[in-house]
This record gives sequence, C-alpha cells and structure tokens, in this order.
Amino acid sequence: MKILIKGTVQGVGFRPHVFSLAKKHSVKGFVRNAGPDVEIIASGSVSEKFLDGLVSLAPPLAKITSVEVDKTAFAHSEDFKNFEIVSSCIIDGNNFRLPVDSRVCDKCLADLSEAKNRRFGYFLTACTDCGPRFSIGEKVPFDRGNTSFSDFSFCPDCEKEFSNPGDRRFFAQTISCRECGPKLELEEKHGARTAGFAERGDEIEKIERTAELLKKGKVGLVKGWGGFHFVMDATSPNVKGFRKQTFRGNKPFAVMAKDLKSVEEFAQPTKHEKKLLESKKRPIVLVEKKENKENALSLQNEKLNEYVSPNLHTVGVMLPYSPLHYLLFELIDFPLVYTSANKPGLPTIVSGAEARELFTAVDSPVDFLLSDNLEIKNRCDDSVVRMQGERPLFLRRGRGNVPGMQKLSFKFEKTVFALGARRDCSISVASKGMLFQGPYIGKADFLEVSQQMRLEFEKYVSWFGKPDVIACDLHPQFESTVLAKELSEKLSVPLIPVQHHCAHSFSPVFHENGFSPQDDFVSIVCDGTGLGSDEVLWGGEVFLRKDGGFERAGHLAQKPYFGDASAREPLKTAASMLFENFGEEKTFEVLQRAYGKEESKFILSCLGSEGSATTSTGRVLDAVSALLGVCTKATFEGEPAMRLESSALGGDSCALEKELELEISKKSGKLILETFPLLDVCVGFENKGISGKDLAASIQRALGLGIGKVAREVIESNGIEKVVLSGGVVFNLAFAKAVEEGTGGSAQVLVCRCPGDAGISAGQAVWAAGLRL
Amino acid sequence: MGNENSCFSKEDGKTRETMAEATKALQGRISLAHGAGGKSSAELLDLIFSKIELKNTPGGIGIDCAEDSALINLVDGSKTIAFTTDTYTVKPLFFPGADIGWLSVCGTVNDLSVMGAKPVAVSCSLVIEEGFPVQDLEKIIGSMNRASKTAGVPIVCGDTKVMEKGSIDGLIINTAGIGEVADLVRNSGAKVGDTVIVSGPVGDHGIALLSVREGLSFETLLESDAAPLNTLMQSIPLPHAAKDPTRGGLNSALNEIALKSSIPSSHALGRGIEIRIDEDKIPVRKEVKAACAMLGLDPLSVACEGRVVVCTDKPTETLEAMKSHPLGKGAQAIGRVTEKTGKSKAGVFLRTAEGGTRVLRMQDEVIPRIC
Ligand SMILES: [Zn+2]
Ligand SMILES: [Zn+2]
Repeated sequence: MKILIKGTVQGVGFRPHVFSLAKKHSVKGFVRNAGPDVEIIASGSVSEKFLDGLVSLAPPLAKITSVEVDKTAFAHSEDFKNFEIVSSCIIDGNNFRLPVDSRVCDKCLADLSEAKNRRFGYFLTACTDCGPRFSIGEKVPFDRGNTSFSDFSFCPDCEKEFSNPGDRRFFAQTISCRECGPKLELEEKHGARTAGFAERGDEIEKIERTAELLKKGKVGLVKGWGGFHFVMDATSPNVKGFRKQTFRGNKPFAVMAKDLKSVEEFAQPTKHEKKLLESKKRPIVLVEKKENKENALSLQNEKLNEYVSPNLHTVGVMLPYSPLHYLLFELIDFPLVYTSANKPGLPTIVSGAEARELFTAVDSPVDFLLSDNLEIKNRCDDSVVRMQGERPLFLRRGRGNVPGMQKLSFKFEKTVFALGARRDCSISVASKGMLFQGPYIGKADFLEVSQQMRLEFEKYVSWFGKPDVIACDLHPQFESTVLAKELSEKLSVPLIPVQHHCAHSFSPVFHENGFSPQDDFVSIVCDGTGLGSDEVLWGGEVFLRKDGGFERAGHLAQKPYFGDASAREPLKTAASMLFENFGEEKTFEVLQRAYGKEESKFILSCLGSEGSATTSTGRVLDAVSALLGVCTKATFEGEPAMRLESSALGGDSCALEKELELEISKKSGKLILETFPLLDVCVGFENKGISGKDLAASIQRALGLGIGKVAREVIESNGIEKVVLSGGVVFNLAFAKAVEEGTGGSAQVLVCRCPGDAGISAGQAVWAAGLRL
Repeated sequence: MGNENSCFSKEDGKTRETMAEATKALQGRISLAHGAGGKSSAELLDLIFSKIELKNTPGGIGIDCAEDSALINLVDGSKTIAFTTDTYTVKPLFFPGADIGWLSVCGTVNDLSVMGAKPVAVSCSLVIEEGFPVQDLEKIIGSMNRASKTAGVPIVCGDTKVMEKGSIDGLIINTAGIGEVADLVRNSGAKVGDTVIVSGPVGDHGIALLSVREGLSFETLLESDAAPLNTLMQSIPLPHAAKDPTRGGLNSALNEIALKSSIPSSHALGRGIEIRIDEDKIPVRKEVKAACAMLGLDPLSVACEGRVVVCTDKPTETLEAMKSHPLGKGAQAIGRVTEKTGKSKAGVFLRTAEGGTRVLRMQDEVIPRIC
C-alpha cells in the first residue's frame, strides 16, 4: 500500500518519525521524500495504530495537511524484509514546501552546557526538532544536499548519529559538530584576526572574547540565521552615538534579552506577549516599557538605554533563538541591541563579503565581526509583531514565519507573482491554490532592493514556475513597479497594477475566519499614502465589496499635500491642511512654532501653489502630532504618528467629545469625513485648559470613530456582515478600537493580520488571482 | 470575480516598441508634458524624426542624432560648421537675474558651445502679440544685446511678426546660431573612467522662474543662472562629453549622455556605460533645496540655463580651469563614468548620503512617494 503525507513534512524529522513508528508496529517497506510530500510504501496492510501515530506522534515542527492512503497501490509488490529510509524522489510539479526556522530546542540546549557532550559550547547545535531551515534551504526536498550544509560532509561521529534510528539526530539534515561543521570566526578592528576559517581555533574562547567586547560597549556585526545583526550593550551610553553613525534617526532598535525575567526588568509584557516571546518562532514583539504609566516618554531605566527606542512607549524585544545567543547570554547580564545590519531601507547583509566590506569601511560603526562560513540561502529578517490582545499583528514577516504557505480560500490554478509597493517590500506568490509570502526585502526606492527582488523573483520562478500574471502597485515610480513592468515584458505576461489600498483590503481575506475574496464586505483602510486612481494620494478610505464589484464608498476630506519632504516635516503638512480655513496670518503663527520668521514666510508662500492632495489618515495624525508639539520633524517614516500614540497613553480619550464629533457629508456619491476640527482644536490648546495627553487621546479616538461611522453608513445601507480593517495606522491599537466602535457593531470586524505594507504583496496577489479566476 | 475595467487596477503589459504605436500614443492632442523634457518629449521627437526624410548633410550630424547642434562639413572639407536653433517661451518674461531676451541668446550660444564649437553669429526672430508694451520690448532687446556682447557673438539677422491679440502669450523669440568646430565634443562620447563635473549649483533657473510664478518668498533673492557658456567651454581641456542641463535638469542631461554613450555604434565599447553620482557632492543652493522640498520637486530635474556637465579624463585641470572662470566658481566633481553592470536598463545612479543607490530616470512628473 501507499501512504502520502502532505504539509510541512520535510526537514522536520518526519522520516525518522515514520521509521521508528514502522519499527514499533513491524511495518515493512520504505519511506522517502516525494516532491514536497513524504511517501510511505509498505507491503501488505498496516495497523490503524501506525496510521494514527503518523499524525498524533508527529514531530513538533511538522504541519500535516492530509494523509492519503491508497490500499491498492503496490498491493502485489514483493514483500519487504525490513523498513528503510531511502533517498528522495523528485516529482515534477511546484508544490513548494520548506520548513520555517525554529529556535534551538531544550534538548540541544542541554547538550550545550554539558561539559562532556560532543557539542559542549558548539554554536550550531541542531537536531530534527530545531535549527535553521528556510534560511539555509536552496530548494525542495529539504535534504542536506539542497541546503547550505551540502558544503560540509559528516565526520564519522555525526554520520553515526545520522544513521542511528535510536538517536535524536537520526536522519536530521542539518546536524554538524565542531569536527565537521562550519567554523566561527571573530575579527576585531584593532587587532589581528583571532582565527581563520581554515584554523580550528577554540570557539568558546571566541564567544568569551565577544562577551568581553560587548561588556566594553563595543559594537559587533554578528551573523544570525537569516542575516547579520548590529549588536551592542542595550544599557550602554554608546547607543546614542551608534544611532547617529548608522543614520537611524530615532528609529527604534530591537533588543534581545536573556529570558523573560530579564525582559521584565525594563518592560511589561502581557501574558499573550510572553507566550509569543517564548514561542519557537522567536519573533520581535513590541512590548510596553516599564514605568511608562507615569511618565511615558522619559524612560529612565538603567536596564535599557533611553536611545534604544527614543520617545516611544514600546520597545521591540526578542529572546535568544540560536545556540550562539544562549552561549553569549551565559556570559553577560544585560540585554543587547539586536537590530538588522543594513543601511536604512536596504536589504540586510547576508554574505560574509558584504559584512567584511562594512566592517572594514573607513567610517564603519562596527568594532568587531563575529561570523561563520555557513551560507545564508534565503535572507530572512526577524519577524516583528504587535499583539492585539491575543492576536499577533505582523509589522514584518520574516524568520519563523516564512515561507508559511497558506491555503487560498478560493480555487486558483494559475500562478501570480506580486512585487509589493515601496515600504516593506516583499514578493508574494499565489500558485495552485496556495499563497507563499516571501520575506521582507527593503524599501523599493533603491537599486539594491530591486536587484534583490530580481534575484528572489528568479528563485521563485525556479520554485513555482513561470508566472501567468505579475502584479505591482499603481505608482509608476516605485522600483518595484519598474521591475514588475520590465519582467512582465521580458516574460510576455500581463502586468496588473493594483491600487495600494485595494491591496490592503484583500491582504487579509484569503485565510482567516472563512473570508473569501468573493464575499461581500466593507473594507476600512487607514494608512499613510498610496497613489489613487484619481492621482490623489489616498489613505483614509472606505471601500465596498459587493456582487463582485469593488468601489470607493467614502474617504477623509481631501487636503493639500506637498509630498515627500512634508512627510518628514509634519508641521508643513499641518500648515498646508489648515491654510484654506486659516488664511495667511493664522497659518503663519502656526508655522512660527517650529520655524524662523523667514522660513515661515517662505513656507507660507509655497502653500498657495498647486501641489498634490491627500486623503491620508496617517498625514492627519502626523499634523496633529506636530501641532501638539509632540513631533515637528520626523527622522523616519511614521515617527510623528507613533509618537502621538505614545503621548496619548493614559490620556482621557473622551475629552471634548462634542467638539470633536466629525461631520460626514456626501459628494458625488461618496461619503466625506471632514478632519479640520481635529487640527483646529490643537492650535493654542495650551490656553484651553486641556492637557496634550488628553487631547492626543481624544483626537485619535475621534478620527477612528469618524471613519468607523462612515463605514457604518455603508455597512447598514448595503446589509454587509463583514468588515476588514487594514492599513499601517491600524497598529495604533487605541485608534483601531475606536474605528471598530464607530462601525456600530452590526458587522464582524476583522483586523488584517498584516495591516501595514508588509501585507501589500499578498493583497496584490489575492486581488490579481481573483481577477484571473 | 472582479470587474476587469475596475479603476483599481489596469492591465498594461505591452511595450510601445514600434513607431506606429508611438504615433498612436501621441494621437489626439499634444499635451504640455510633451514639451517638458521628459519621456513624453522623447516620444514627440521620435514622431517628428520619423516624418522627416532628409535628416543630414554628407558626413555631418543631423537632426536624428539629437545633439545640441547639427554639424555640417563645408564642401571643400576645410571646415565643420555647427548649426542650431531654439524657440523661447517663458512665463514670466522677466524673472530674477534675467529675461527672455538674455535667455534666448545664451541658450543658442550654449547649444553650440557644448558641442565644442566656437559660436560665430546668431539670428533673432520675434513673434510679438498685438498690444505688447514697447517699453518691455526695448528692455528685452537690450538684454539680447548685452548677452551678445558678453558672449562676443553678434546678432546678424532676424525677423519680426506681430500676431493678433490673444493668439500668443506676449512674446516668442526664436534664435539660431552657427559656430566653427575645431575639436568636436559629442554627448555620446563619455568613457569608462571619466570624472563627471558640473560647473555650478543646479536648479537655480527653474526655481527662480517658479518663485515669480508661484510667488515664493525667499530670504535672499534667487537668480536665474542663465549665462553664455562659450568662454567657459573654451577655457577647459577638451572633454569626452558635454551637455548643458536645460529642461529636465541634470537628470535628463546625464541620462542622455549615458544612453547615447552606450550605443554600440558610437566609440563606447563593450556593454556600454553607467554614470554614478554622489548626492552629497552635487551642488544645490539651500533655497533651491527648500523650495523643491516644499513643492515636491527633485532639484536634479529642475532646469538650468548657464551650467554645463562634462565627462572628462582630466578632472584636476578641468576643475581648476572652471573654478578660475567667473561662471564656474561653484564647479564640483560629482561622480564617475563606469562600465555597465547588472541587468537594469537604467544608466544613471545616485548614491544617497545614507548609502543607498537610487536610479535616476527621466520622468514626466514627480509624484510623492512616501506612503
Ligand atoms: Zn534540537
Ligand atoms: Zn561532525
């Protein structure tokens, strides 16, 4: 008989599991990887217990989607003498599966600290249950020869473990040891190379030296599973200087802490956040800093330098995932800055050559380089998650969550490649009923990012086959769009540019809560900006999905907008939004809060010019942030709105409820939400007897309620039962809650799992796939 | 599902490759974008070139090469003459630092100069709207006179037409010019290893114009850079390629050099060339930066009228010569010409201050990107 097991079943110790189960139940035959699946051929019939055990006793990393039993197959084949694992058979087809990277398991951790163990202190300890997978996998099936470990052949001891059915490492594709595995290398700036790859050197010594350097406040460039990190003492006063050297502005750094106890010294994770922090995926989780209830923005905590995530009430934290991390934390007692090693917006460094180039550059911010010679096949940055109660919302999908194949909720037999928009670009592929979401790449402003996208595109073609359709953003000048256009011409396949917020709307609907793109729903997208079909920059939108149509049903009132530079200087945005109501004199006063007389005059003189216009939610919040004096100059995208959220923490969100009730009008069939009162109330608020904190909280809520109410009208007049809430502003949880409240409760509101631009390529793929049905 | 004609996405997979399609694309009406120096302008030129049959003199350079000037070899072979023409419409006619008269002489002198020609004489044709103030006309002709004297190039012939009120907006000037070529400079001559030098801050002219048009209020007066470049060009070592960035700014000028220098039939060898420039080396005035930031413009795409960008293998001498000329005081080396790499079709790359690489493409308009 033949048994076919589908799902994530390769590279996760499934064949050894089948092997021991077969021994136990005296099954004779063999098991092998067959294409993306695992196939068992057995003589005669097998016991029910064996079949049950296949699923119920499966190894922890396996994800089984189906078990197909064919009793007639091989019914007359010769009797097998025993049970064996045989080499993989490659089956034509592109049902691609690669397992995700998974944190080092407890058994392997025990090996690390056991002095007599062969792998005592070995930085790449792994077994069937743990270790890197996607990041080192080149193609399917997940056999050693198809991974970065193909460069390293087993020593006799590892070989023995690999072929011993009784061993935890039996048939584990990624095992190695000090004898036969990759070598750790430490290089210091002002000193000789500690040891080359060729030399053996003592790894433990190198890790000890690394700890010493970190204790001195030095900055390291350290190789992780999916890319390099900048690493330094997160309590060190050097954090501020390092920030400057790497052009990060105020963009928050991620932190790695030894364990939950250490996290709780500077932050206060909730129950659900703790659970996620300790999960095998080990994402970066945004948690509230400690002591911020009283004083949100001046965190004076010796357990975390204030420049780690300046002016914010949250900090991104992860726990150690690789054996190397655990070894380091044995030697230090402070949390580490652990942030992707890249230039702002560019892909994270993955190759040793790039790392060396950065390390040896004249103006390098790095003091030492800790690397190894195991090649990273697929760049995957750390995943970044913010919990909405029990539900994780992804700011970035990466290690532990890619490839993360998901089943499409509708039948689709063709292949769509979607290239994303600008920020948080990634490639998604909808193919043969499944959706693959590739890892975060970078910001599609840069050649480096489009070059990387091109490489990934080619790789995915080898995994999934040539696309039938390519999808991209409507904005013609994003590098992702330019690339999509070029590739569609080269491959002679149609190009489907998808409006930004249309993609946001369809991003969640393929897998959760029975949503399907064919269903009727209302979508609320609260976002930064995306090019609309009328050349206006949209971003505060309510759409109606009905009877297969998709239309813009309402939006925030259109306000003048002066483009990229004013996104960096939100007071300019505020001034341009106030100008039509305020006139020159009053707007001039507003500008004087942050600019000198001459500059204010100049800005004012620009305001009458013909610029573009926007309906963005993010830009309104930016303007409020500037007017309240929370953030008048942004050092990274989204900073003003993020800081506004932090400043609103603990504020009374129901102050000025009457004044802030926003008016909804109707213009050419669309509902328009006027936002002027939100800005107006900020001007001179100091004299109105209300605190900035209460005002910030109230404005956030008023805007959320307002757009929720616009949606409510659409929901009620169309008898809609489902609502999707998406867009980058949704990460502001207080705001998202207000939107939900505004919708009136008659429809179920689903917050998109990946509401920011990290979810765009998936949404484009789903929309384009829907068009091609 | 879905409605194929939805405004939320559109299919657009085909290249406009054939001439017929280019013509089709223009059919209907000419738009302002067709004159803005970007992609649409190139489409318009393609249409015109395809309709003209006699494009060149024997052994010369004709209209289809789209150089700044045409080249004509005299019948006896003793001399090569550069010949160019340009029409000036500018709103407003008077702007800080110059006016349409000054501009019309400088522009033609510059088109000759960047080809390595020594301008000999220019013509001047005026199309004047009925009712145009004589006083203004006097001022404008006065400026033409000053420009001609500054450049040392006489205005030797001309023509005048008066049009009915409302049929044109004030005044249009056409100038043509001829020059003598000793050492030819083409915008297709950039070579791998060359240094790219620009003679001064970019974008002054465009922003000066805009400041009047939109009523921008600068702390200090920003003046147009319009000036005749012939003496500057004659003072520097012969470059491999030169171009005065006018409409479309430095961006268009560099793209043109990169594109033309990569055509296999020209002297460029192998895979063609790329131009790589550094953002923090490009001279841009503070006022120009601020105005561009506010208005969502890219300073590199804003027009100049008195700047030249050259590709040369004698960077030190060129910089020295430029800096000692009154029009080249702000000269800067901004980048290098390198061999074509990678698969991208693009030819001009900007290294940002933070270390990323941006592709500079000719575009019709700048749409805000930040999302
Ligand atoms: Zn393990
Ligand atoms: Zn070994």
